[in-house]
Amino acid sequence: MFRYCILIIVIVGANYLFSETGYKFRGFVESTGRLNLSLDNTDPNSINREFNQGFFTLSNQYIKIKPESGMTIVASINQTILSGVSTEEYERIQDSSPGFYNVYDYYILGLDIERLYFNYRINRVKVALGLQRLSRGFNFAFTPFDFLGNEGKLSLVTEYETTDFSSLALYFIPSEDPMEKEIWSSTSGILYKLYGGFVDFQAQYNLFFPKVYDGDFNHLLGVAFKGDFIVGLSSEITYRLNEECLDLSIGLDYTFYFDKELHIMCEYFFNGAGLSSGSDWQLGSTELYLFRHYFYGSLDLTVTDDLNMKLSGIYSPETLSGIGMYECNVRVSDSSTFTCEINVPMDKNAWDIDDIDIKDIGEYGPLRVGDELELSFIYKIRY
Amino acid sequence: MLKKIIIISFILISGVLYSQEKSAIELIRLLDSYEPKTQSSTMHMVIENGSRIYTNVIKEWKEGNTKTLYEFSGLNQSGDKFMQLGKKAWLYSADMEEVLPMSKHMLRESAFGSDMTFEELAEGVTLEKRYTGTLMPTDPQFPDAYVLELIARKKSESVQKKIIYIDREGLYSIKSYDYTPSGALLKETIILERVNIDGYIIPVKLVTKDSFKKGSSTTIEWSELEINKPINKSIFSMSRFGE
Repeated sequence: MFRYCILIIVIVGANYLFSETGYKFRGFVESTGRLNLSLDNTDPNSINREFNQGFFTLSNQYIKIKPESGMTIVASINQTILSGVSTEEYERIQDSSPGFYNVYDYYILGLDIERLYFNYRINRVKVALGLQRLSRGFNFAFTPFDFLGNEGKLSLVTEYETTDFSSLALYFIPSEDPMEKEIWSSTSGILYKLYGGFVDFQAQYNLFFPKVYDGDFNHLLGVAFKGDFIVGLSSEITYRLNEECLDLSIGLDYTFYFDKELHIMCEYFFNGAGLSSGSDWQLGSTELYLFRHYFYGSLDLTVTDDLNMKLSGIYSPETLSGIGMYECNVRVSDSSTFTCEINVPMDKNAWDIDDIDIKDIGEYGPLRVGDELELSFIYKIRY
Repeated sequence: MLKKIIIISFILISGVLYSQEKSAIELIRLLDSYEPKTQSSTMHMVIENGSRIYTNVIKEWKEGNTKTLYEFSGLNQSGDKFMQLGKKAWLYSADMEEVLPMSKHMLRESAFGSDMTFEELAEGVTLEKRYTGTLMPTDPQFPDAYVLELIARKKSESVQKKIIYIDREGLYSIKSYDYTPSGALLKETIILERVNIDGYIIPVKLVTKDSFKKGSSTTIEWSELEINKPINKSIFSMSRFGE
């Protein structure tokens, strides 16, 4: 903790001492209270209901320094305070990353450097090195093209702007195991982005190094686009050569205007590696998508400038299960919002879980997710 | 004899006065001519919603009617950017470090909670290409103003009818009303202050009210205004998003 405080003070202090062309500092604090009607599903033949609570506070500081023309340093630091049901993430990773959390009397404190990288630009060439996001693709719920996710990845990225609206990036991402010294398990690739044409378009090729010296290399090819054809249409397609596995997602969205605004979005996902039958799966599996087909839909209603309501859901047709989500956002002031969220996992036997057969447990049903209902209250303030 | 002279004089004077009256197309072209080739400024946007007041500071660059970039520095959107190039538009989320393409239907959404849409923020004047005009009878409450009614040439135009009040002497816009295709009042905009730079009459303070948002109004004030100065090409490029 002390070292983190020193790091923050050094970075902020560096602003004033070394910044020639300016800096940006911003952050937020997000406090969440959770009430949760959960199910202990360790023995599906004897299900126990529990009424739980939890608190989760996330504080973020984002600093962007420009020490000289063309150079940028970005640091984004998170602190989390966890208690009750919010400590599930701590329980999950405490064995693999014991230094990430500190346990105190009433809470667990987590410290995390989300991003820390420098960026240097010479004319049309940009080099970025460090912990950075490598986000890509256009879809919202199902993003096979964005297989690296939103988390910061330690990486080296060299990007060349082929025109004002297109770029070609080469990147190298070392193994996720920080102790791995050899090049194995690394990923490298090429990403092409084009904006402003008939559609916005991206294409990528990734080379996955084998985990051992004599293992097989793997390859991933992907394309993604977003276009405007009365409704917004977007798609992401990836293909893994070794597994001969195709992933595809398609999204549509449109906004209706009356005295309010209603934004409708739907997405379909074909998960090539997924199971085609609903009866052959493990309850304890941690895979995010187990089956072939998924649907997502949302209705986002802007009632007033200060009030927004969203109804959304994800559905797995193979297991006839899904999660319904309701979200209500209230803008409290210039810099703060209050959000109420309700998540309801459901499956075809949602109302009769006491007599359910293990074969009938839905992928997103209450018994697999572990909750029958979760209610969250979130207050977020920016500075 | 004297009577005839008075009548002839009256007809002649009336003719001279009538010839000074502007036609609808002349007024439309005049308003279009006030659009500078380039414009850069800082916009202070104050959104009043009932008893609440929100503020946004936005840096603006415009080139003609096709290129626009806005950089936000308000608390909720600090570092976010909005760029429109012709028919394409993108939003840059500074939090996510991501470029989000905006579909055309999304441009009619309220821009960051204000009474203006993204489309209105980015649009140039170019009234002549988009609307046909008719001069309406003078409004007794504003005898010194032309009342110009504009009807959209295309059904796809989000504002199908506009009524613009134009000062007869200064020949600048005083206020305007936008209407939906069904004829309902959509928006009222009053120009409070304007400047004349080299013959370009440019609003520097206006207040706009969306009639669907009760008790809401947005006041926009421009400062550090520069017009017709070359804008660096890199401003309207994707590399600007990461800056």
